[in-house]
Amino acid sequence: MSPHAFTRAAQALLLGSLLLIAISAWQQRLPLLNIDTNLKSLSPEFLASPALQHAADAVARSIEQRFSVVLAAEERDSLEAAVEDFEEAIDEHAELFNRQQDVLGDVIEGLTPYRFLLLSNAQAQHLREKSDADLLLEAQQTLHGLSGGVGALPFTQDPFGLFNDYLLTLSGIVKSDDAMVQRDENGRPRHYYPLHFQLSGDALKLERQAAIVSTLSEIEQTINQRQPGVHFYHSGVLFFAHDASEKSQRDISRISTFSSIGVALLIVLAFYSLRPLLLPLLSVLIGVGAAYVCTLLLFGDIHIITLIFGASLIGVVIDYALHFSYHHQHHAEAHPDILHKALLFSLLTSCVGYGALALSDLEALQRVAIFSVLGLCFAWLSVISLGPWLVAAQRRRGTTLFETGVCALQRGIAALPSKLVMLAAISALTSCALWLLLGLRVNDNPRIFFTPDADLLMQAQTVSDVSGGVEPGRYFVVRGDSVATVYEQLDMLYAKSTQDALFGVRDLLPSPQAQQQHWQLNARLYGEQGLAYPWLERLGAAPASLEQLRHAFAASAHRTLTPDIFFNELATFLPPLWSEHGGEYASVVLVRQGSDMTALAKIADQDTIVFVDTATLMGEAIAKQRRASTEVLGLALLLTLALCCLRYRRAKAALLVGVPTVALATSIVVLQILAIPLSLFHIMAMFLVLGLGMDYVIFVHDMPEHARQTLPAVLLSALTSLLSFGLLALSQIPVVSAFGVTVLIGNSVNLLGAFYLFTLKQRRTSP
Amino acid sequence: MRTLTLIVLFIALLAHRAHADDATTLLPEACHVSGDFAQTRRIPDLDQALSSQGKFLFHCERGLLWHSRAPSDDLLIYGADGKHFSLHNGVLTALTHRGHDQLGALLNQLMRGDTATLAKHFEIHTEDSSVLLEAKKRRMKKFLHSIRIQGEAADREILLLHGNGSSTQIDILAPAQFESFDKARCAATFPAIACDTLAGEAP
Repeated sequence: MSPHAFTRAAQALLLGSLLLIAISAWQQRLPLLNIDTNLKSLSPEFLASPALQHAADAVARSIEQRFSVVLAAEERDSLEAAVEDFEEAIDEHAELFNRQQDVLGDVIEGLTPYRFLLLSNAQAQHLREKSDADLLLEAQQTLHGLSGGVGALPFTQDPFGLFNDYLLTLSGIVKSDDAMVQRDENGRPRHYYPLHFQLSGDALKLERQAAIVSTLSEIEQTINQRQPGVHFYHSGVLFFAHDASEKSQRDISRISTFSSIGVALLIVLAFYSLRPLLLPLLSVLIGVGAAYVCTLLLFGDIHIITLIFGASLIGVVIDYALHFSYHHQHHAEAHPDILHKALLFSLLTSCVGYGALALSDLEALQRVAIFSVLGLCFAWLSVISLGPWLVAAQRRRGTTLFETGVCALQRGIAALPSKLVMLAAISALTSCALWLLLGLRVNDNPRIFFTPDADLLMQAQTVSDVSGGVEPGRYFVVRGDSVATVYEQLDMLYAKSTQDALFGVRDLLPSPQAQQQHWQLNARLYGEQGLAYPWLERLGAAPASLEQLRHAFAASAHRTLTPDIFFNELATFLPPLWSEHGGEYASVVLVRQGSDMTALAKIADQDTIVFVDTATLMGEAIAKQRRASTEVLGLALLLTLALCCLRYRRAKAALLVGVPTVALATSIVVLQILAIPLSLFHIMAMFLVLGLGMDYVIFVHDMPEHARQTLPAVLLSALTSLLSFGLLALSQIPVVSAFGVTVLIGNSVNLLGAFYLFTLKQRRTSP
Repeated sequence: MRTLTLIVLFIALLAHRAHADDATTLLPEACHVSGDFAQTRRIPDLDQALSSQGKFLFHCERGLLWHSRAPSDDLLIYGADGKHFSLHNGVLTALTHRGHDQLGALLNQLMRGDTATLAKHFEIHTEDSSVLLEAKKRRMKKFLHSIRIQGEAADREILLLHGNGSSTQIDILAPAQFESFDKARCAATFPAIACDTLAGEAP
């Protein structure tokens, strides 16, 4: 195919693809800002049984949907006024705030048909032990007492008040009522008022997070103008996710600004014009933009980590444009086919490198692979398509200062003794191999994803202290092949644990077997000859009411309130502590804060009673992913080598792949020497090092006769990458910093290796 | 439910010592008051009205004793210190429902004679010879719709309308005010253990 036809084909392909993407996006009404910030998406399933995993995921999702705000003040009166203002303000934003309030009031109707099955342990014992006369006397006392006749149901439908008391017990357990809490702090009383909310939408969508946090902030500022002594404490995944995404955005925005200015300065230094920026800029925009929209079309949203990794692609994508610009400026009409071949092979090796990520079993990494390959392809297409138009008009200039610098660097590297270079490369490879054999210093802590804000952590602790919370990341999951089996396991778990340490279905709902026993106990009150009827007749109850009560009791004889109905249809305000999956039942039991976790963990048999420590399991999952990514990186190196072997002689191919290999080895060694533990994201960045390194060596190898264009293009490309990633290394976000520092080290070696490769080629071709 | 009934009763006790024609005077005139009560409850499903009688004692720093004596014996102690008990057959049982804690906090607030607090929970209407307090919030309205206080100081009548259609009429009879809490005087009317508990000496 002629170069001209090649360009035409690329233009048609680019135009057609972009049109197709635009039409699809328009047809699907694609929300362009659908960014997923949930770090859970990065972690693979960590529980052995699907039923356990299903139960754990349901609870995790439920916890993500909840958040709490605690108002605090020394003066009780000012706190009350603030709470009133706060409640009024959030009522005006009902679309954002779904208050968990009076939740039991909403489930009374649903629970009523099952009321004769629901007794607390104390009530059941009371019915077993008390005589008929005692039961009637107590009922009489209650009726004449302060609370008599005022219950959840009409008096004649719950005359002994057992259902009412069950609801009160439930209310105490789930703490459904808002209440002011007083605590002594430094000898002075301080008042707290917790308010709990549940989100209807996805808590981890950026737009929703921003809307909730900014609205809360406005409300709180307004209240503080009237009540300056009132403080607000927030707790919930929502706030941490928002904080993390805000910090990421600030960080990336700052780094992008400095990086863009630096890249622009480098271009000016290299070309004495800003015009050459046009092609890199357009190719980056089209490449990353098309990859972004395609990912949204394929998956419906885009993960923040995909975005961060995708943004780093700019470093590779820009290479195509720089090489094209340099070569077209000087040799627009000469050998465009060589340039096209080099660009195409460079694209292939990068796609192989990034595509290898798709072999990971982690969906997030697979998405990164798709994003990267699409981004590279579209950027490449845009360079080939638009390059001839944009670069042709640029004026050629004489030797620039930048090119003089390139020559100086080349001379410096050429002066290095071959033995020294070989020794350095072998040392890097040997040290790396030794480190790999002896064990690398690694970091698989989930905190590598983000460092939680200290103030938010303190606020969450205060909320937990005030609300008497449960451990957010540590709980039990109990499983069985029937509801009864799960309850038996729960009985075993509770029997071995300390009192009040656990919170689960067993505290809220009697087992199906117990429910039948409770019905039998209630038969003494409401059966055909039950105590209730003559007593109610003496009180003058209408016969219709008696008949209604008798009927309601008889109708519930064969009824069972299953945990599934309880959690999924009635008490939906509670975390879904019960689930069924694949014919297996599982129940999550939460652990109250302050419990002896070590002792509790020992109760688990890790088969039917599993103790889940999310942080530990996440760490193990991340470690697994790090190991898998390292293997995939090795595979990517082998695939790249295989691809090079198809094009070049084996020795030459080995030499080319040797440069990024030494760069990778050096990165690992330097990180270890600097005592930076290797994380999953250091490994991810090494894919970038491999891609960049292959780009450099392919151009140096394929176009040695155009050294005046190739070497400045390689140096410019490397400097732009080093500048961008060097700045990333300064980021406060561990993931971003890991990327930056790895590419900084690895790509420096790539650059030196590419220049040294050029020297070797020169030595061989020189007489 | 139980909580709100008790809140209402306390409000009624405050109202008992206020001038009916001026809502702003719903403040306790003395810290310590005791007397008799006669209660008549009407429940929609029951033809028969339920009558009971008993005695009460209130002290603003210690709390409230509410002792139903007929037709059955039932004594409740709501301590100002946040500890609440019931007394049956000489056995003192702690009331640990969360509702009781909330009530205790509110009682303490009310004991300070805080009309602003009353106004937060109720719309207060003064009429010719009575004061009408209407619950403001939906949650409270479900259990207590309104309170009407009328009559002379020596024979105050309080009518509570509950959300489920029940009503409770309480007649406060022969109320007496005292300067300070006297355990011996208390024990002359109520079980000693109840007075000890109110005095913070037991259990």
